[in-house]
Amino acid sequence: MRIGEVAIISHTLTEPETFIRSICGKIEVQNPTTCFGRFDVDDQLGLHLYGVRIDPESKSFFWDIASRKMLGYIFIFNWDDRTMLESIKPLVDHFAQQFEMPIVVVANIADRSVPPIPEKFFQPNGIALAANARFTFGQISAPADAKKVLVLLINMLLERLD
Amino acid sequence: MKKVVLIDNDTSYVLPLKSEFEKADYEVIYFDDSQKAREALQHLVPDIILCEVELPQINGHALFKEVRSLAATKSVPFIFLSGQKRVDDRIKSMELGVDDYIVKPCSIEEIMARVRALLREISETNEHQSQPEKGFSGNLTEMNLVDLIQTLELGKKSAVLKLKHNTSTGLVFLKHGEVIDATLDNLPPDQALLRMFTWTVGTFVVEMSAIERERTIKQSNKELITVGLRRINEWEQIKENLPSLNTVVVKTELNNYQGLSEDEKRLLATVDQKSMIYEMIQKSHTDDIKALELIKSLLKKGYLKETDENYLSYTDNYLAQLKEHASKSRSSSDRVAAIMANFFDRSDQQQPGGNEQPRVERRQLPDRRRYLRRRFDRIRETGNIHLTKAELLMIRERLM
Repeated sequence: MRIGEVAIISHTLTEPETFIRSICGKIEVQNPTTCFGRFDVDDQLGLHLYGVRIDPESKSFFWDIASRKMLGYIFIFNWDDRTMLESIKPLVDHFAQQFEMPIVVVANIADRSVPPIPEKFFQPNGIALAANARFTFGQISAPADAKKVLVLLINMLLERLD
Repeated sequence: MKKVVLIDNDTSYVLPLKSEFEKADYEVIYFDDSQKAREALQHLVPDIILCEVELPQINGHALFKEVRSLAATKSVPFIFLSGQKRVDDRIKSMELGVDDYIVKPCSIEEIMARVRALLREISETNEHQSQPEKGFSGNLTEMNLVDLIQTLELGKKSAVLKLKHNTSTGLVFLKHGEVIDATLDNLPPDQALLRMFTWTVGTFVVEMSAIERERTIKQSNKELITVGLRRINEWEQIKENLPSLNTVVVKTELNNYQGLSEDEKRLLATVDQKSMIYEMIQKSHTDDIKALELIKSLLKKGYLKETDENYLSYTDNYLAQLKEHASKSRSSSDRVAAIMANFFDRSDQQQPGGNEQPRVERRQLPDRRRYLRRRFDRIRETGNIHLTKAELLMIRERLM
């Protein structure tokens, strides 16, 4: 079976878990720092999604995952939570410089209407943060939005292959 | 810019459509939830509404009836989108009075063409009808809000006033000649009314109709008119010697803010490099007249200066708008906005797909990056990004 792997990274495991659940429907494996879900296209092709909690202080599974050959990395922070963004920002910078694989930074909005984010900011192609990183808004608990994020990542890969 | 409301929970179908509308210079307000759409349409007056028939919670037919029952939106063109190909379903929808019915899947080009045709038809009809069926229309320069209220009060009329000024549209509701409610952006009714009093440029439409809504404005017309006249007077006085409110102004290099008041500093902080004057007024945390005074003062002191920039190209700049949104979002902390601004600053300096620093020849890349580049090339050459292009396309298709 052909498998692509994507890491979903956040300050807590809640966001990756929500994201993976939105894509895969369920979490296959979970421990305190990681979770795992599988998205099968058919019996020959699928995606493995690794949810990881940022734990830069210790030699954690986060770095094991990060250093593997991933298709790309999705960083999630809650739009209203400055702590999450502060913890993610240096990692995004680091990844953008050190890794060539695509990075999508998602500002998760629990409710699109509070605070009101105009629809025009929900751009399907995201905004370029760096050569290999894009920013987008999304409501990760909504499968349509979560899929949109993953499609953005795949589009970035396809752009490279074109 | 025409405002389109799109209501459909099938994002895979609607998002490309939304994107095409945006490319064609429409402002698109998208809802994947009919309940939220219903709430928003209480205050929103779009130019056209496209709505899926089969929606959870409130279906398209119910939403259409509701839109038609509201004085402000009863004449907004409405198109149903539906996967239902049955003729009887289509007939039922058309009998409700919907303007068009599009069966999905349908090409985006066809939908755009139908929308354009419908808007053109309506525009031509409006041109031929110098006045609405029950009401009248005109120019705010000739008749401002105070004049309109006085006129309607005399006849004790119930009506909705639609006022357009720049890109803003406000509504004022009168019941038996008394002002009972007003809406404009997200402002409270009394503030919405105060802002609209100062609109002396723009257009208005008065639609006579029965008004059934809660009274939110408690002052009598007399009190409102007194306030309104005073504000118009003050506004016009301050506006003298000021450029047009559509003028784009930029921050100058003056960075010593010691001579500025706290209000001036705060207003200046809302300008992220550049802004239109009227946007600054909208973003300010003070009263409109006070904001205009502050802008005048900042221009005079040299902290702001006019530019020749076309404001349309300016407003089309996505990043600039997002920065503004981040900086004025009351719910997000300032810190988050500041950090986001850093992200965007970086993207401002490069085109999407470009590099942060000038591109260097591959042999000059630092070791780590050269290694990564080699690895990426290898992946690319062997088609082993772990997945091939065809496989990626298959996954994407499955996700969409």
